[in-house]
Amino acid sequence: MGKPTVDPGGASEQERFAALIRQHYQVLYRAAYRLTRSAVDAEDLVQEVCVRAYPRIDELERLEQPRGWLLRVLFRLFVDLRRRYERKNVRAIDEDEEFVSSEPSPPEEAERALDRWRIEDAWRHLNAEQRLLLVLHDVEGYSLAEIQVLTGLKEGTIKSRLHRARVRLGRLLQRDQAATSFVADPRGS
Amino acid sequence: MRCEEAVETIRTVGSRPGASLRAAMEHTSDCSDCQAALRAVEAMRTLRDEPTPIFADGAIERAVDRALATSPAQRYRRGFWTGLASGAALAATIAALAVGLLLWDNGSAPVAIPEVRAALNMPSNVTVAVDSPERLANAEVRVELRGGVELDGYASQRELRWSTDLEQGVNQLTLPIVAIGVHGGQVLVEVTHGQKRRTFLLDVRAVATG
Repeated sequence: MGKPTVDPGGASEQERFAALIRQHYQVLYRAAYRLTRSAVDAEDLVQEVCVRAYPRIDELERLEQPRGWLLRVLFRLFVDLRRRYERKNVRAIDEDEEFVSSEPSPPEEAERALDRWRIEDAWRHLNAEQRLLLVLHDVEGYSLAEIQVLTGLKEGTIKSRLHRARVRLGRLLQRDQAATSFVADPRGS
Repeated sequence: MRCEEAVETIRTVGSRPGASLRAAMEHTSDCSDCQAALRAVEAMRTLRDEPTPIFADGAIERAVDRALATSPAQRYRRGFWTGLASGAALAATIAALAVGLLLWDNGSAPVAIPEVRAALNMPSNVTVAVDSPERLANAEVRVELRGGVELDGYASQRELRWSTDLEQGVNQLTLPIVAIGVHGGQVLVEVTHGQKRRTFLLDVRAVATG
Protein backbone atom coordinates (compact mmCIF):
# COMPACT_ATOMS: atom_id res chain seq x y z
CA MET A 1 0.00 0.00 0.00
CA GLY A 2 1.36 3.37 -0.94
CA LYS A 3 1.54 6.44 1.20
CA PRO A 4 -1.77 8.22 1.71
CA THR A 5 -2.12 11.31 -0.42
CA VAL A 6 -3.91 14.55 0.15
CA ASP A 7 -6.47 15.51 -2.41
CA PRO A 8 -5.74 19.16 -3.31
CA GLY A 9 -9.05 19.49 -5.07
CA GLY A 10 -10.72 21.19 -2.14
CA ALA A 11 -8.13 23.94 -1.68
CA SER A 12 -9.17 27.39 -2.81
CA GLU A 13 -7.03 29.48 -5.12
CA GLN A 14 -6.07 31.72 -2.19
CA GLU A 15 -5.05 28.74 -0.07
CA ARG A 16 -2.97 27.29 -2.90
CA PHE A 17 -1.28 30.64 -3.41
CA ALA A 18 -0.53 30.99 0.30
CA ALA A 19 0.97 27.50 0.34
CA LEU A 20 3.17 28.34 -2.63
CA ILE A 21 4.43 31.55 -1.03
CA ARG A 22 5.08 29.83 2.30
CA GLN A 23 7.20 27.29 0.45
CA HIS A 24 9.41 29.87 -1.24
CA TYR A 25 9.27 32.90 1.06
CA GLN A 26 12.57 32.25 2.86
CA VAL A 27 14.54 31.99 -0.40
CA LEU A 28 12.90 35.11 -1.80
CA TYR A 29 13.46 37.05 1.40
CA ARG A 30 17.12 36.05 1.59
CA ALA A 31 17.74 37.20 -1.99
CA ALA A 32 15.81 40.42 -1.39
CA TYR A 33 17.71 41.16 1.81
CA ARG A 34 21.07 40.58 0.18
CA LEU A 35 20.16 43.00 -2.57
CA THR A 36 18.60 45.73 -0.47
CA ARG A 37 20.54 45.28 2.80
CA SER A 38 17.35 46.27 4.60
CA ALA A 39 14.76 44.06 6.31
CA VAL A 40 11.95 46.50 5.56
CA ASP A 41 12.89 46.92 1.90
CA ALA A 42 13.34 43.18 1.52
CA GLU A 43 9.83 42.52 2.83
CA ASP A 44 8.41 45.17 0.47
CA LEU A 45 10.23 43.67 -2.49
CA VAL A 46 8.93 40.17 -1.79
CA GLN A 47 5.42 41.59 -1.48
CA GLU A 48 5.77 43.08 -4.96
CA VAL A 49 6.76 39.66 -6.26
CA CYS A 50 3.69 38.14 -4.63
CA VAL A 51 1.43 40.74 -6.23
CA ARG A 52 2.72 39.67 -9.62
CA ALA A 53 2.69 35.98 -8.82
CA TYR A 54 -0.91 35.67 -7.69
CA PRO A 55 -2.47 36.15 -11.14
CA ARG A 56 -0.08 33.44 -12.37
CA ILE A 57 -0.94 30.85 -9.73
CA ASP A 58 -2.30 28.33 -12.21
CA GLU A 59 0.80 28.49 -14.40
CA LEU A 60 3.17 28.57 -11.43
CA GLU A 61 1.68 25.35 -10.09
CA ARG A 62 2.41 23.68 -13.39
CA LEU A 63 6.06 24.73 -13.40
CA GLU A 64 8.64 22.24 -12.21
CA GLN A 65 10.61 25.05 -10.55
CA PRO A 66 8.38 28.01 -9.70
CA ARG A 67 11.23 29.31 -7.56
CA GLY A 68 13.16 30.24 -10.70
CA TRP A 69 10.25 32.27 -12.02
CA LEU A 70 9.73 33.98 -8.67
CA LEU A 71 13.43 34.85 -8.38
CA ARG A 72 13.55 36.22 -11.92
CA VAL A 73 10.63 38.50 -11.13
CA LEU A 74 12.30 39.59 -7.89
CA PHE A 75 15.61 40.43 -9.57
CA ARG A 76 13.97 42.39 -12.36
CA LEU A 77 11.70 44.24 -9.96
CA PHE A 78 14.68 45.15 -7.83
CA VAL A 79 16.57 46.56 -10.80
CA ASP A 80 13.55 48.46 -12.05
CA LEU A 81 12.47 49.88 -8.70
CA ARG A 82 16.03 50.80 -7.79
CA ARG A 83 16.58 52.59 -11.10
CA ARG A 84 13.43 54.60 -10.59
CA TYR A 85 14.54 55.50 -7.08
CA GLU A 86 18.00 56.48 -8.25
CA ARG A 87 16.61 58.67 -11.00
CA LYS A 88 14.48 60.52 -8.48
CA ASN A 89 16.64 60.68 -5.40
CA VAL A 90 20.25 59.77 -5.80
CA ARG A 91 23.14 61.23 -7.69
CA ALA A 92 25.63 58.47 -8.31
CA ILE A 93 29.06 59.53 -7.22
CA ASP A 94 31.71 59.75 -9.85
CA GLU A 95 34.59 57.29 -10.03
CA ASP A 96 37.10 60.07 -9.50
CA GLU A 97 35.04 62.09 -7.08
CA GLU A 98 36.35 62.48 -3.60
CA PHE A 99 34.50 60.02 -1.43
CA VAL A 100 33.47 61.41 1.90
CA SER A 101 31.26 59.29 4.08
CA SER A 102 28.05 60.92 5.30
CA GLU A 103 27.75 58.42 8.10
CA PRO A 104 28.72 59.30 11.66
CA SER A 105 32.09 58.17 12.86
CA PRO A 106 32.04 54.51 13.71
CA PRO A 107 32.69 53.80 17.32
CA GLU A 108 35.78 51.98 18.49
CA GLU A 109 34.73 48.46 17.80
CA ALA A 110 36.09 45.21 16.53
CA GLU A 111 37.80 45.29 13.17
CA ARG A 112 35.28 42.85 11.77
CA ALA A 113 32.35 45.09 12.61
CA LEU A 114 34.16 48.02 11.05
CA ASP A 115 34.76 46.01 7.89
CA ARG A 116 31.07 45.25 7.67
CA TRP A 117 30.20 48.90 8.17
CA ARG A 118 32.55 49.85 5.34
CA ILE A 119 31.00 47.28 3.05
CA GLU A 120 27.47 48.44 3.86
CA ASP A 121 28.48 52.03 3.21
CA ALA A 122 30.14 51.25 -0.11
CA TRP A 123 27.25 48.98 -1.12
CA ARG A 124 24.84 51.89 -1.06
CA HIS A 125 26.81 53.60 -3.82
CA LEU A 126 26.49 50.73 -6.28
CA ASN A 127 23.73 50.84 -8.83
CA ALA A 128 21.02 48.18 -9.04
CA GLU A 129 22.62 46.09 -11.74
CA GLN A 130 26.00 46.09 -10.02
CA ARG A 131 24.39 44.87 -6.80
CA LEU A 132 22.41 42.25 -8.64
CA LEU A 133 25.41 40.76 -10.44
CA LEU A 134 27.57 40.75 -7.31
CA VAL A 135 24.87 39.07 -5.23
CA LEU A 136 23.99 36.50 -7.89
CA HIS A 137 27.57 35.51 -8.67
CA ASP A 138 29.67 36.18 -5.59
CA VAL A 139 27.13 35.67 -2.81
CA GLU A 140 24.45 33.30 -4.10
CA GLY A 141 26.97 31.41 -6.22
CA TYR A 142 25.05 31.28 -9.49
CA SER A 143 27.08 30.36 -12.58
CA LEU A 144 27.37 32.74 -15.52
CA ALA A 145 25.01 30.50 -17.50
CA GLU A 146 22.42 30.63 -14.73
CA ILE A 147 22.73 34.40 -14.47
CA GLN A 148 22.22 34.59 -18.22
CA VAL A 149 18.89 32.82 -17.80
CA LEU A 150 17.91 34.95 -14.81
CA THR A 151 18.77 38.32 -16.32
CA GLY A 152 18.60 37.88 -20.07
CA LEU A 153 22.08 39.38 -20.41
CA LYS A 154 24.70 37.76 -22.62
CA GLU A 155 27.51 35.87 -20.89
CA GLY A 156 30.22 38.23 -22.14
CA THR A 157 28.21 41.20 -20.94
CA ILE A 158 27.77 39.61 -17.53
CA LYS A 159 31.52 38.97 -17.23
CA SER A 160 32.53 42.50 -18.10
CA ARG A 161 29.82 44.16 -16.00
CA LEU A 162 30.59 41.91 -13.05
CA HIS A 163 34.23 42.90 -13.25
CA ARG A 164 33.35 46.57 -13.43
CA ALA A 165 31.05 46.14 -10.42
CA ARG A 166 33.89 44.53 -8.45
CA VAL A 167 36.32 47.27 -9.41
CA ARG A 168 33.79 49.90 -8.40
CA LEU A 169 33.09 48.27 -5.04
CA GLY A 170 36.80 47.72 -4.40
CA ARG A 171 37.60 51.37 -5.03
CA LEU A 172 34.74 52.54 -2.85
CA LEU A 173 36.00 50.30 -0.06
CA GLN A 174 39.52 51.63 -0.42
CA ARG A 175 38.35 55.24 -0.19
CA ASP A 176 36.05 54.41 2.68
CA GLN A 177 38.91 52.72 4.49
CA ALA A 178 41.08 55.79 4.01
CA ALA A 179 38.26 58.04 5.24
CA THR A 180 37.59 55.99 8.38
CA SER A 181 41.32 55.68 9.11
CA PHE A 182 41.54 59.45 8.97
CA VAL A 183 38.58 59.77 11.31
CA ALA A 184 40.14 57.29 13.71
CA ASP A 185 43.47 59.09 13.68
CA PRO A 186 43.33 62.64 12.27
CA ARG A 187 47.11 62.83 12.24
CA GLY A 188 47.17 59.95 9.76
CA SER A 189 49.85 58.15 11.70
CA MET B 1 45.75 37.28 -19.22
CA ARG B 2 42.56 39.30 -19.09
CA CYS B 3 41.53 41.04 -15.87
CA GLU B 4 38.30 39.03 -15.50
CA GLU B 5 40.20 35.76 -15.86
CA ALA B 6 42.93 36.77 -13.43
CA VAL B 7 40.45 37.73 -10.71
CA GLU B 8 38.37 34.60 -11.26
CA THR B 9 41.48 32.40 -11.10
CA ILE B 10 42.45 33.85 -7.74
CA ARG B 11 38.84 33.86 -6.47
CA THR B 12 38.39 30.18 -7.22
CA VAL B 13 41.94 29.07 -6.49
CA GLY B 14 42.10 25.32 -6.09
CA SER B 15 38.88 24.63 -7.94
CA ARG B 16 39.98 25.40 -11.50
CA PRO B 17 42.43 22.77 -12.69
CA GLY B 18 44.89 24.12 -15.20
CA ALA B 19 44.37 27.75 -14.28
CA SER B 20 47.65 29.56 -13.88
CA LEU B 21 47.67 31.07 -10.44
CA ARG B 22 51.18 32.42 -10.93
CA ALA B 23 50.17 34.27 -14.10
CA ALA B 24 47.09 35.62 -12.36
CA MET B 25 49.13 36.84 -9.40
CA GLU B 26 51.67 38.52 -11.68
CA HIS B 27 48.87 40.23 -13.59
CA THR B 28 47.05 41.50 -10.52
CA SER B 29 50.24 42.77 -8.87
CA ASP B 30 50.53 45.34 -11.67
CA CYS B 31 46.84 46.05 -12.22
CA SER B 32 45.00 48.47 -9.95
CA ASP B 33 41.60 47.43 -11.36
CA CYS B 34 42.24 43.81 -10.41
CA GLN B 35 43.47 44.78 -6.96
CA ALA B 36 40.22 46.68 -6.42
CA ALA B 37 38.19 43.75 -7.78
CA LEU B 38 39.90 41.35 -5.39
CA ARG B 39 39.12 43.69 -2.51
CA ALA B 40 35.48 43.48 -3.56
CA VAL B 41 35.63 39.70 -3.81
CA GLU B 42 36.82 39.55 -0.23
CA ALA B 43 34.01 41.90 0.84
CA MET B 44 31.43 39.74 -0.89
CA ARG B 45 32.74 36.72 1.03
CA THR B 46 31.94 38.63 4.21
CA LEU B 47 28.37 39.24 3.02
CA ARG B 48 28.01 35.64 1.85
CA ASP B 49 29.04 34.24 5.21
CA GLU B 50 26.81 36.43 7.33
CA PRO B 51 23.47 34.94 8.42
CA THR B 52 20.36 36.36 6.80
CA PRO B 53 18.04 37.96 9.34
CA ILE B 54 14.91 36.00 10.04
CA PHE B 55 11.94 37.70 8.45
CA ALA B 56 9.47 39.45 10.69
CA ASP B 57 6.48 37.74 12.24
CA GLY B 58 3.48 37.87 9.94
CA ALA B 59 5.57 38.71 6.87
CA ILE B 60 4.19 35.83 4.81
CA GLU B 61 0.62 36.67 5.75
CA ARG B 62 1.17 40.32 4.85
CA ALA B 63 2.61 39.36 1.47
CA VAL B 64 -0.26 37.02 0.67
CA ASP B 65 -2.88 39.53 1.84
CA ARG B 66 -1.39 42.28 -0.29
CA ALA B 67 -1.27 40.04 -3.34
CA LEU B 68 -4.89 39.03 -2.91
CA ALA B 69 -5.97 42.61 -2.38
CA THR B 70 -4.06 43.99 -5.34
CA SER B 71 -4.18 41.39 -8.01
CA PRO B 72 -7.80 40.86 -9.12
CA ALA B 73 -7.86 44.15 -10.98
CA GLN B 74 -4.72 43.20 -12.87
CA ARG B 75 -5.83 39.67 -13.42
CA TYR B 76 -8.68 40.54 -15.71
CA ARG B 77 -6.99 43.34 -17.53
CA ARG B 78 -7.32 41.91 -21.00
CA GLY B 79 -7.94 44.93 -23.17
CA PHE B 80 -4.61 44.62 -24.85
CA TRP B 81 -5.11 42.44 -27.89
CA THR B 82 -8.49 40.89 -27.44
CA GLY B 83 -9.61 42.25 -30.78
CA LEU B 84 -7.26 39.91 -32.54
CA ALA B 85 -8.36 36.94 -30.52
CA SER B 86 -12.09 37.51 -30.90
CA GLY B 87 -12.11 36.19 -34.43
CA ALA B 88 -11.07 32.82 -33.13
CA ALA B 89 -13.61 32.25 -30.43
CA LEU B 90 -14.04 28.67 -31.47
CA ALA B 91 -10.36 27.87 -31.57
CA ALA B 92 -9.08 25.14 -29.32
CA THR B 93 -6.92 26.48 -26.50
CA ILE B 94 -3.54 24.89 -26.15
CA ALA B 95 -1.54 25.11 -22.98
CA ALA B 96 1.15 27.59 -23.87
CA LEU B 97 1.52 30.71 -21.82
CA ALA B 98 4.64 32.80 -21.61
CA VAL B 99 5.18 35.85 -19.48
CA GLY B 100 7.82 38.47 -20.06
CA LEU B 101 8.61 41.56 -18.09
CA LEU B 102 8.95 44.64 -20.27
CA LEU B 103 11.98 45.89 -18.40
CA TRP B 104 15.09 45.07 -20.26
CA ASP B 105 17.04 46.77 -22.95
CA ASN B 106 16.93 45.79 -26.57
CA GLY B 107 19.63 43.19 -26.21
CA SER B 108 17.56 40.84 -24.07
CA ALA B 109 17.09 37.31 -25.36
CA PRO B 110 13.66 36.16 -26.55
CA VAL B 111 11.42 34.43 -24.08
CA ALA B 112 11.46 30.85 -25.34
CA ILE B 113 8.08 29.20 -25.14
CA PRO B 114 8.06 25.41 -24.97
CA GLU B 115 7.08 23.84 -28.29
CA VAL B 116 3.34 23.64 -28.76
CA ARG B 117 1.51 21.06 -30.84
CA ALA B 118 -1.26 22.42 -32.99
CA ALA B 119 -3.73 20.38 -34.99
CA LEU B 120 -3.05 20.66 -38.70
CA ASN B 121 -5.29 23.25 -40.37
CA MET B 122 -7.23 23.89 -37.17
CA PRO B 123 -7.00 27.15 -35.19
CA SER B 124 -5.44 26.87 -31.75
CA ASN B 125 -5.11 29.71 -29.24
CA VAL B 126 -1.72 30.58 -27.77
CA THR B 127 -1.39 33.29 -25.15
CA VAL B 128 1.62 35.43 -24.35
CA ALA B 129 1.62 38.08 -21.67
CA VAL B 130 3.69 41.18 -21.07
CA ASP B 131 4.04 42.39 -17.51
CA SER B 132 4.55 46.12 -17.68
CA PRO B 133 5.75 48.06 -14.62
CA GLU B 134 3.77 51.12 -15.69
CA ARG B 135 1.19 52.27 -18.20
CA LEU B 136 2.82 52.71 -21.62
CA ALA B 137 1.06 54.51 -24.44
CA ASN B 138 1.68 53.58 -28.07
CA ALA B 139 3.70 50.44 -27.64
CA GLU B 140 4.60 48.79 -30.94
CA VAL B 141 3.57 45.19 -31.51
CA ARG B 142 4.99 43.02 -34.28
CA VAL B 143 3.98 39.44 -35.04
CA GLU B 144 6.12 37.55 -37.55
CA LEU B 145 5.09 34.16 -38.93
CA ARG B 146 7.78 31.77 -40.10
CA GLY B 147 7.32 28.51 -42.00
CA GLY B 148 4.01 26.69 -42.11
CA VAL B 149 2.07 28.82 -39.64
CA GLU B 150 -0.71 31.35 -40.18
CA LEU B 151 -2.97 33.44 -38.01
CA ASP B 152 -6.63 32.54 -38.37
CA GLY B 153 -8.34 35.33 -40.26
CA TYR B 154 -5.05 36.74 -41.56
CA ALA B 155 -4.23 34.18 -44.24
CA SER B 156 -1.18 34.99 -46.38
CA GLN B 157 -0.01 37.79 -44.05
CA ARG B 158 3.48 36.94 -42.79
CA GLU B 159 3.84 39.99 -40.59
CA LEU B 160 1.42 42.18 -38.66
CA ARG B 161 2.30 45.45 -36.92
CA TRP B 162 0.17 47.75 -34.83
CA SER B 163 0.29 50.19 -31.93
CA THR B 164 -1.49 49.75 -28.66
CA ASP B 165 -1.45 50.99 -25.08
CA LEU B 166 -0.08 48.72 -22.37
CA GLU B 167 -1.72 48.90 -18.99
CA GLN B 168 0.30 48.60 -15.80
CA GLY B 169 0.43 44.94 -14.92
CA VAL B 170 -0.35 41.98 -17.09
CA ASN B 171 -1.36 42.49 -20.71
CA GLN B 172 -2.32 39.41 -22.63
CA LEU B 173 -2.27 38.57 -26.30
CA THR B 174 -4.09 35.49 -27.54
CA LEU B 175 -3.06 34.42 -31.03
CA PRO B 176 -5.26 32.06 -33.09
CA ILE B 177 -2.50 30.13 -34.82
CA VAL B 178 -3.03 27.59 -37.58
CA ALA B 179 -0.41 25.05 -38.61
CA ILE B 180 -0.71 24.83 -42.37
CA GLY B 181 2.24 22.56 -43.07
CA VAL B 182 3.35 19.26 -41.58
CA HIS B 183 6.67 20.76 -40.51
CA GLY B 184 5.01 23.52 -38.50
CA GLY B 185 6.82 26.80 -38.02
CA GLN B 186 7.57 29.63 -35.64
CA VAL B 187 5.73 32.66 -34.35
CA LEU B 188 7.74 35.64 -33.15
CA VAL B 189 6.00 38.31 -31.08
CA GLU B 190 7.85 41.51 -30.34
CA VAL B 191 6.61 44.32 -28.10
CA THR B 192 8.60 47.56 -28.13
CA HIS B 193 8.25 50.79 -26.23
CA GLY B 194 11.14 53.25 -26.47
CA GLN B 195 14.28 51.41 -25.41
CA LYS B 196 12.33 48.58 -23.86
CA ARG B 197 11.62 45.44 -25.79
CA ARG B 198 10.37 41.96 -25.10
CA THR B 199 10.41 39.19 -27.68
CA PHE B 200 8.65 35.83 -27.55
CA LEU B 201 9.57 32.96 -29.84
CA LEU B 202 7.13 30.11 -30.19
CA ASP B 203 7.87 26.83 -31.99
CA VAL B 204 4.71 25.30 -33.45
CA ARG B 205 4.63 21.63 -34.35
CA ALA B 206 1.80 20.34 -36.50
CA VAL B 207 0.01 17.17 -35.52
CA ALA B 208 -2.52 15.31 -37.64
CA THR B 209 -5.97 14.80 -36.15
CA GLY B 210 -8.58 12.09 -36.59
